[in-house]
Amino acid sequence: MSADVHAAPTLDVDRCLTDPQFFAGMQFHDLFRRLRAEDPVHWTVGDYERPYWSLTRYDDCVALMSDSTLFSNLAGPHLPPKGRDLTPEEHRMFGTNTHILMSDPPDHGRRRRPMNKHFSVPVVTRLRPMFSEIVTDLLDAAEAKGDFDIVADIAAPLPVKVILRLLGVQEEDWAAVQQMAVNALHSQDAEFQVDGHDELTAVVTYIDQVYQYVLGLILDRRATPADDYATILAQLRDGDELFTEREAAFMAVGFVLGGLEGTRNAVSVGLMELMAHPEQARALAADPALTSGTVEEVLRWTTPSKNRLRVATADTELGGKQIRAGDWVVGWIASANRDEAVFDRPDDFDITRTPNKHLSFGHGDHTCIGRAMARLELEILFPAFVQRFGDLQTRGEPEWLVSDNATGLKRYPVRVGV
Amino acid sequence: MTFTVEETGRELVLDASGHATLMQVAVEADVPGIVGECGGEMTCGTCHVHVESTPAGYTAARSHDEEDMLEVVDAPAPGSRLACQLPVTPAVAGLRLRVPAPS
Repeated sequence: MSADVHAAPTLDVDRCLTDPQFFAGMQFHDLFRRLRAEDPVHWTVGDYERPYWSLTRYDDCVALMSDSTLFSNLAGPHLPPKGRDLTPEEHRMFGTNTHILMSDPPDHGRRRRPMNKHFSVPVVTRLRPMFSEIVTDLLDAAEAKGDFDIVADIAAPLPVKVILRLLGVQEEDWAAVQQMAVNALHSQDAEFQVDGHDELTAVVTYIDQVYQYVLGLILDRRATPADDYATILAQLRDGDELFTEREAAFMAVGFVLGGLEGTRNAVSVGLMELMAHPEQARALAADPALTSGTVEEVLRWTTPSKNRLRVATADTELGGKQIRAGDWVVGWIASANRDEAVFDRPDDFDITRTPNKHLSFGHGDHTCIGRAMARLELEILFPAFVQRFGDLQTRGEPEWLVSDNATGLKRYPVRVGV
Repeated sequence: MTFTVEETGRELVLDASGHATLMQVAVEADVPGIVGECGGEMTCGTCHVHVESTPAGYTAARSHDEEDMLEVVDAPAPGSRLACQLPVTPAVAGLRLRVPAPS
């Protein structure tokens, strides 16, 4: 612990950590670097309604995510907008104690275990032809346009086409479901604030819209099974018992929100970095063996979801600080992924980096269940993109999403070389 | 203990000491086809092996969760196991495992 962080500069640090605008871009890593060195378990009293502990070191983030009994998920998986507690009605709409992201042991395992095989590497690998076809179609369309946008034409539609098709959402509803997800998850960005909702109310309202939509799918598939993930989720069982409608529908909510958000952000930032490092892009284009390293480095570098929220269930200690039962503890995995104690040259983007044990999919019980799907999307896209577009020119600066959790772009206009 | 990698026919005789499971032994030795991505949580299905022969005194029953995952692996066989669920015990030395070729 360092006195100077608790003296005058504290206010600035804490204001930054409670200001979504501060996180638009990559400059926030300067602050995290300082916190890792000076106050890695930092009591954050800024402009949010609740103070919280900010963990910025890798090992502390791992410790936080490794013990789901001591650190509960029931307040939500991420720091909520404005750091506000949810009301009981908002918790119901959010799926607390129903959705796996807002479940603790033993309910979490009971709900998650039946799903694991459906998201396993062997099952997802069989989807490769479908994913490849989608990627090829997107690249064809972008090339035909000549002037295109990294986000609107590649990063956003890729997971929409993959995830909503897999789930079994009919194509005429894709845009509407995509918009619900954007409204739910991007409410800290003025561009996506709608209907005068407060930021957290927007999250809950639009998650409920997604819920109502996928509940319809789940009920339909219980009556009429099809060959899709809605059917798989609708038929999930805990032993002999069918999951409740709410449990099954919230699994589908997670499929939509998790599936659309992280991939879009990783793709947008990943393609921007590959364009910014043409020598690495050329190396990847020439050698597909670099694909896995590229995917993992993009995931580390971007950290599409910056933080994980947990609530201490008992008094404990982290990094020499006394944590009290009920305290909010935020693991900034975006910082952990740049921890110089774990990663050599952490601020260099390097697709040949090894080892690369990043935490972008989380750690422990709540490790992202969809990670094999996300990896497959990125594994197919990145080499195909750099092989197709060796000569892209930018038509403007990348615009960053304003969010203290999501790290991604809103727009990045480019032009195919002539 | 011995891993036979079906794809290449290569046979690897490995020392299991210092490891808790055979997935860890295989990952440490870079046995092709064994990834162990989830670290032994039975969520990834990347440490599938066929048990070819089991030495006397080596037992490890399949759990429900393991059987669930084995339903979706490539090239399932009666001796299919997840290597992460095979513990290293004093009896492990005579165990023979085959890593099925990718389909």
